Amino acid sequence: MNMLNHPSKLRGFEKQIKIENVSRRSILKGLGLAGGFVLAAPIMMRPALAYETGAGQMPHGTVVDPRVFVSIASDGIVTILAHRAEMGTGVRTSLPMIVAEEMEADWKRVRVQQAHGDEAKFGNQDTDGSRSTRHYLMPMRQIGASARTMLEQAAAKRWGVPATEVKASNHEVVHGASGRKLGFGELAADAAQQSVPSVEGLKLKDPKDFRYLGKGAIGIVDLHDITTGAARYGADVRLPGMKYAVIARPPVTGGKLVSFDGSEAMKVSGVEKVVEVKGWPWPSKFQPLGGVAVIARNTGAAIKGRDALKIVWEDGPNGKYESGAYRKELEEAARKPGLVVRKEGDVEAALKGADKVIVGEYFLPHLAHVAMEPPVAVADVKGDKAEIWAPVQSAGGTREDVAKTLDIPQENVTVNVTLLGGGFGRKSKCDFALEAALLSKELGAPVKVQWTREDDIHNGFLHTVSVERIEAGLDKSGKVTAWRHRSVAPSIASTFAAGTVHQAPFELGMGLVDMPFEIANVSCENPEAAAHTRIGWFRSVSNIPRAFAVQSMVGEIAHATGRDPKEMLLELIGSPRILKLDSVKDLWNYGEPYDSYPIDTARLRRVVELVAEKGEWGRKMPKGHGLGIAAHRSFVSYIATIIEVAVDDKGKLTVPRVDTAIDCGTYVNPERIQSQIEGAAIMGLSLAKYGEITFKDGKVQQKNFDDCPVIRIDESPAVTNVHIVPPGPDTPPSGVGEPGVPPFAPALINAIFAATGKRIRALPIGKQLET
Amino acid sequence: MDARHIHLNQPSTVPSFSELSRYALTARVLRKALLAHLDETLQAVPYQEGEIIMIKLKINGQEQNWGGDPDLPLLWFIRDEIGLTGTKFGCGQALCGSCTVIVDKQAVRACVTSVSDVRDREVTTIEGLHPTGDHPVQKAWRQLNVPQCGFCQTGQIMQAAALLMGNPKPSHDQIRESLSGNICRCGCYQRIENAVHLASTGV
Repeated sequence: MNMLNHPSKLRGFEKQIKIENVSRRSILKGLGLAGGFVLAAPIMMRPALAYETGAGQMPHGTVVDPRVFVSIASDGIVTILAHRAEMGTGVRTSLPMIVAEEMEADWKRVRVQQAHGDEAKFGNQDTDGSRSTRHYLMPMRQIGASARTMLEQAAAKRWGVPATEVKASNHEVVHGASGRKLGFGELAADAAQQSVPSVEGLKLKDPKDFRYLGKGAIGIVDLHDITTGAARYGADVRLPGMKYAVIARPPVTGGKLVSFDGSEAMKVSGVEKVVEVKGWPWPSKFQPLGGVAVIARNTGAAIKGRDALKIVWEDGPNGKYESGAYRKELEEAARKPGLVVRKEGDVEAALKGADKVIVGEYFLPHLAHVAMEPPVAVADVKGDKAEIWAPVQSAGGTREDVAKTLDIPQENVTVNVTLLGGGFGRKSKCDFALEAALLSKELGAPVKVQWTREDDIHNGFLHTVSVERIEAGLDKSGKVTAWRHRSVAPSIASTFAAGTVHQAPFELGMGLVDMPFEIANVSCENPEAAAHTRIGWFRSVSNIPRAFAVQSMVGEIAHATGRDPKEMLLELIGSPRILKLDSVKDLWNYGEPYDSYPIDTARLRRVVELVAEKGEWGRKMPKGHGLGIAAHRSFVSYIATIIEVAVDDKGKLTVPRVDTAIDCGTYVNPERIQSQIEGAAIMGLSLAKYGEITFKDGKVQQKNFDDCPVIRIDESPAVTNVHIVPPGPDTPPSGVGEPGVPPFAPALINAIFAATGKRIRALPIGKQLET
Repeated sequence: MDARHIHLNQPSTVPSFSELSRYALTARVLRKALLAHLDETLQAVPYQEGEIIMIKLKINGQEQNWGGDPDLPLLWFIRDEIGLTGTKFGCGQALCGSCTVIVDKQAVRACVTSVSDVRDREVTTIEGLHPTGDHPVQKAWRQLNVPQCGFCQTGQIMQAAALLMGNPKPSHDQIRESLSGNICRCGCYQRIENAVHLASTGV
């Protein structure tokens, strides 16, 4: 089965699933809202939005219902559910803040409670694709406005005045004419008796009256807990009688257990049991790899016990996977024609007739997420019921997969989402929760499965490895008339279906077929590549290699034609226009309708111009310093970055300054946008400087942060400035979590070229600058 | 400086623990370095191989006893046996600093320090840094909205607190040097640096 033809197997790319009618009772049951009571009203599914988003296309769509998300206690404390996972983007604060804004709640009297996994109740919970704000800004505003309207109606009724005469303001409803006031807590019981207003008739607040949205003045809700150690992540869950487990897994993807001897492990103080863990053949989506688990009274004993295991593995078909040889395979494939996925004009003829052809072949290796919190999960399985505590990006998906794995009904599975100690796409795969569930069932006790850092690096779902080859044909005047881009990389779809050799539309749409330059003859091709390890989503996904290649090529063309790189970039982007990509079959626009989120080159030009102005493009550089620029649209946002580098005589690279401009449409929390972009600079620098996972004999060669380094504070940019484009009045919100990463590496590489004259085409930089 | 050439048995040349973390040394070498450092501050109690006795230590002022494996990393004693979960597991090899605690005013990686290494000593974890969580470093962290996911932050805060104990007014370079053993994958470094500076100049 080829994933290209069966994208529905990929969660998040499924066709909309029809929601079964959910009874009032089942909605109320297990809401788990703390204290007070819940606003009661009929459920509404996906009401009309002011602008269309792809939210309704996600599994289980959206739910817009105040009684699901809001409760008010008689003391006035408002509890708002956060149904998306918090992994550092600030979403656990931002979405409830939208509700609070619209309902006129006082943020100091708002409590945020994490929703468990239940997509029929809450709507889609897959926290990925940089889409929480863009899918939920309007639904959350509607939820807040509904709650406010019901409170106002309750007050008007109590006072016997028309509802038009009362107004909610800062946690109370006021009757202007008489000066009477009632607090939200006093009105809560009556408000619950009001019918929920129809979405169409809702009066949303005028943005000029916003107190919280767009201001960035509110800290994240977990700030105090994080700084005192009280914040609870996956590993921090402790249950009475809980056992601690670590698992030895097959070192080669597709390998399996032949035999094991746990007798030495059993001698380790604190070790209680050694058991086999069921594994699934590769590929099998997110199912566990299997192996041998050591169960102990604490994690340290379990790790020590695992070290003493004697295991015989069978490596299977990927036992010969070797990174150097595989890179050559990809390069060879990139030098031959491949499946054409976008075609305009006649690129072959245009390249033949070109005055000059510039060829760039760019390489980006596998990358590991290495979130600071390694995968971990706690499970308590009793009979046909399972409760999970885990740092998962996909609460609903985890629930489905636990139910399938244990063969129990989904209703019997409760998934409690803890804080995530970083996610970056790794925790959208719930394999670690499935392992915990299997072990808890086997042992008849609550179990915590802790992955070590070595496990995380050896048995992850890596970022793909790719060769991006671009040929640009120029006429006598230096104008680019031909563009051929071949992208060769194993697809994420290979983790779902054997035999996958082409990238899926959602990967092709990340910087390949959506290339925004105004060039007459274009061919985008996708030659075949088979996977030999588990490939998964990594923050910003295929945009990383594509932006690296495309934006490096802009720098190469600028150099070849003697032009300023920023002017070259603007010339290639060309006139302000909406891209028409008629030749692209299954154009993937981050799951968004093209009408709401077209590829708008005016917005791309604008971020380039803004960053050039704020980042002082063209400023005089000291010796050994250089400026580089890159721009890229991803997750329907537009980003441009300018980086200043310094390279000393020995080739030591430092980054004195980074400037990034982002146009993410209407935004909620500019302070968190800033932090995401600051972080994206660090992640971009990490992958450019060090990011590389290599294989030998089918096994990952890196182990921990010593041989899989990431950027530390002493090598981080001295300053990262973030410039946010003020949104137009009707600009829909777009992604923030991921788009900061892709332009970083090419801007850095272009800056290194400006500083040293050395053009780096293969990442990581590693020792390439050393002299 | 090449850390691999440091004479670990000469206390006067023992570099700071965070400094050592930078060089990707093995856990064993790091532990040896820690013991050398502790020798400098207190007479270490020698521990005999195979000895199983009750180990006493103090964590956040409370006396704790451990009669299990004396080699058990302090991290797992703190997290799994005592139940103080603010100290995090990130690498197990003293490479990331998520498990940083303070022993005798020194920032120490609990993942490569055994329970027997800190016998009869005072260990401070994030939970014991300040009774109401209002240590100047904690306050500065909140003022500048430092964390993203927050997972590494307790380790960062403990490292910063230890730095300020020995150097109340560190320069920006000293802050960067001292915290270079603590990884933040979200990339909050700019704010971490500014928060330590803020804490040192009065919150």
